Amino acid sequence: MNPRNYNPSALTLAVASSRSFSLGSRSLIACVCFFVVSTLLLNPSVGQDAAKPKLAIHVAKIITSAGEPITNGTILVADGKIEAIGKTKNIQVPDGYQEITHKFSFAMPGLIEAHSHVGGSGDLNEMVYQTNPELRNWDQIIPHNDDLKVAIAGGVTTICFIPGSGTNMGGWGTLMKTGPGRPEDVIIRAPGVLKIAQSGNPERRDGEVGSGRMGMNYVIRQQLEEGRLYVRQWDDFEAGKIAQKPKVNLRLEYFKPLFHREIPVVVHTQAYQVVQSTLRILHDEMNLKVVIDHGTFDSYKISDEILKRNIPVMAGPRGFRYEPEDGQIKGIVAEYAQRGVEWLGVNTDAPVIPQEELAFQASMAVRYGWNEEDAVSGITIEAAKALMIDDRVGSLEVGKDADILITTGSIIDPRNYVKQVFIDGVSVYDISKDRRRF
Amino acid sequence: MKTRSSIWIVVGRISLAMSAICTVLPCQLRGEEPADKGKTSSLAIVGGDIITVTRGTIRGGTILIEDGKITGLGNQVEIPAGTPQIDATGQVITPGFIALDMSRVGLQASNDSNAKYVDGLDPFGDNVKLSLGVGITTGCVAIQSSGGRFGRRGNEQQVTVGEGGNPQTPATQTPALQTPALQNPALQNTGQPPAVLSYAGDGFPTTQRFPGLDPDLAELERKAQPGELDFGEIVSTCPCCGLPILPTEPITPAPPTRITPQKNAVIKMSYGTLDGMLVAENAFLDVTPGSLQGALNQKNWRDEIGKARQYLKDQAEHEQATARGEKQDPPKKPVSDELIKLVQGKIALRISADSVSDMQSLIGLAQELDYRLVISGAGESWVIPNELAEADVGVILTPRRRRDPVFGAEDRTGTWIETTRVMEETGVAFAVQTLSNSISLNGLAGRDLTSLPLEAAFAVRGGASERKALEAITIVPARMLGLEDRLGSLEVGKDADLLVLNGPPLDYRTYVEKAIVNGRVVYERDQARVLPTYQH
Repeated sequence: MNPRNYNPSALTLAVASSRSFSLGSRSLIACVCFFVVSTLLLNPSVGQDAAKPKLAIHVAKIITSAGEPITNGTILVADGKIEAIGKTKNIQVPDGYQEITHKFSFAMPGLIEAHSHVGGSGDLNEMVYQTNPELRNWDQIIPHNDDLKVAIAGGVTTICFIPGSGTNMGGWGTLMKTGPGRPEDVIIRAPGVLKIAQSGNPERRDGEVGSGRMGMNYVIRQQLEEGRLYVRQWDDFEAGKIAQKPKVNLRLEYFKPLFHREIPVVVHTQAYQVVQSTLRILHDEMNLKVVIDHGTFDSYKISDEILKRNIPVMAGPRGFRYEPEDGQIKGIVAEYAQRGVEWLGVNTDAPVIPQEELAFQASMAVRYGWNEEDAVSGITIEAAKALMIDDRVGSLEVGKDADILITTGSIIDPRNYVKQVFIDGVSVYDISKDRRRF
Repeated sequence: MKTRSSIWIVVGRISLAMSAICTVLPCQLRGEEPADKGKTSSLAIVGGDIITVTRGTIRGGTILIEDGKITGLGNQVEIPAGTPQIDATGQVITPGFIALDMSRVGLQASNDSNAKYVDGLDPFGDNVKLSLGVGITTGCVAIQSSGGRFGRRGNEQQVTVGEGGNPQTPATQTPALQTPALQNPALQNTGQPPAVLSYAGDGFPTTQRFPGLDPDLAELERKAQPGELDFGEIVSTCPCCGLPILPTEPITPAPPTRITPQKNAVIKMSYGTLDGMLVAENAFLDVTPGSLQGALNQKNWRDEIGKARQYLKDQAEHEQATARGEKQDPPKKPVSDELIKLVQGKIALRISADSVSDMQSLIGLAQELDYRLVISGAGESWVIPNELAEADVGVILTPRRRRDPVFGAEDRTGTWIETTRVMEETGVAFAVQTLSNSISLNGLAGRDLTSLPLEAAFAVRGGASERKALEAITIVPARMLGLEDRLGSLEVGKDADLLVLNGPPLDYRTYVEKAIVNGRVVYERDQARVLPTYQH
């Protein structure tokens, strides 16, 4: 593995900030920052870690999303991370830890939304070009905005904030926490994902290519080929295979982590035939990490092909399909599960479904036939794995971010609610002090 | 225009006649009573845990049903020999749920004043079956209302073209919005059912704040008839919400709008039969929010109520005079029947309001003019629970609905999830209604009418007790409709509308195994197969 420098040498504005902008487990040496605005925001010298409290959280039951639940458990939190987790009797609380006891409550990992548009300003679509690899949305995030405040009350602590589906390639999305802070506090990874929309919205209507699926698939493939060629040239140069240094093309720079399979592409793809083309173009031809981020209508019929390629499906916002042939309502997630797909989750496509109702999307999937425990994993660890941030979030394990929900019971039951939320070890919502928001 | 509505009615009549013939004919040919009459006239359900709602819970009890009514209830009910039995051991029995706001379920009647609701009943509709599948056995169906209460474009109202080409518009429609519809020939003389100017009817529970987001928009626009999307003269389109911006007209005080009640009917989901399907016509006086807003409208309203009261007085005098043998012309009815029923106390006024000031104004009018008031929506009711309680005003809530607070006034504006708890603690009667009032098969789960018990679960989330939350979809709506002597709880003498559930009524995993309406089993999950049939 040769070290990859995404920082074009021509630009010296990039700020090394591997802590806040780590790319998966392999942190970047430096992160690209093309825009001066964001470099001003990214001053790593002002850390907040010093202020983070040391906590010992005692609850009746811990749902870890990493193995069996722990009854009468304790979680130790220090420096924003989980320091220890286990049965209360087995954990020695060191001096200087603030003890928080929720005697009859559950603790669980913060929920992860795989498809959200409420992380910042709502202008999600630049619809001049059909593909927009030059666009990114982390300059317009609004940490802890009104939607996210309610989302926290619904238990959502991480969102995949992505451009809309107005074009075939909307741009690069951001993986971010929902809590308060500066951009560098809340951003988990940027570029977090690439957003591709295959069909059912990005259609052109003015006579250009792209009014139908053939044209749209052409522009997607053509753009990815261009990106792949660019990345290959740089890889070859860095590996010493070619002597000529390639020209820097800022428009294509973010294709490097994508084609190095360090970030996934989240795909607006739905209906059998469209998912089929997702699998062929994005997985088979382009060898990308793919997340099917709608997968609704009759997409589940292609489950065996999805299973073969081990591709996650974060289904939604539609939760069911009415089968006209037999007049039955079918749960989308349940249909995948019945066909053997295990890497499953749900999404809200907020604001289509309000962001705080992510858990309720899972409730409906369970009502329509999914397994409740799988539903808990689906909106925590499975989503984290799909978005390739499971080294930091998605389960309660030692070393991971202390994103912890205290709930009155299983979050999947809409009668239960969230009592307290910790993000990075800091309490950001506490109904004993705050007005209940959901 | 005439032809259109009559075609529609005729089609309805033919289909009803056909169904009636199909069910009745074989028996009539043999000169017998219908064969299933004996079967449905009595039924016993044994072994289930009966949640009566008004009379506590009976473990392992029996319900005896005869001729559509509950005739026995308890642990010591003697079942007459030969009575068919349903074993509900291990299952839960509750009254059927009542949806206060339904649209496009079981009844397709036009706003035509000559049309009779009974002609528009459709006991075989899929929506009837789906309603039963989640436990709705009775509903107050809005006549010709689209499912757009919280539709994709917000609080959109629809404009229908009624008899004689006159638009029958909700009173709040601004003239600017109405006019293009009138001028648009595509909306007239199409021979189709009344044209709908909005495409809000999909029960899509979000406002379109982020254009280009919804994958269905393109699809919808493609499908829509050209005339349905044509707003007439459009200056431009709003960049935020996509709504057309119409030419601005000079703002002058609007004349008081005539009080034209929106029609509704209470129907039972008596799947497969017309018998006992129509329960009541216009069980609420429904008026649009705008028609009671502003000084002019309120004066108009006071006048109307005054006319109704005067009419009742005149009529009483007329009756006395007639009794004395005097010959006298009867007084002329100055207002609609519904308004007269309202002042008689037979029905309640139902009107939607969210803000404290709107609700206070409605409460004031109701107290001044002395009629029953039910506020639907009631987003900020948690701010004034005592005022609601003192005025004995009921509210119809959607617990998880979000109405954003005014910035800086979060403690007294906007919706609050704990509203149901506050209502329970203050003693305000609250019913629960769903986010959208129709049944949608667009795939978004848990937002349309079929989420009624789940919405009640959100009432529990907000802090209401399970008991109150169940009451909010059974006895409370029955009382609001004035039908509590027949519906809403399991008591001897009441209608045998009940559910056999495979779990607690407000558990999100619970399914209706059997629904019984008027003593007839009208839905069985395994047979209907509209909802997933696997067990958890």
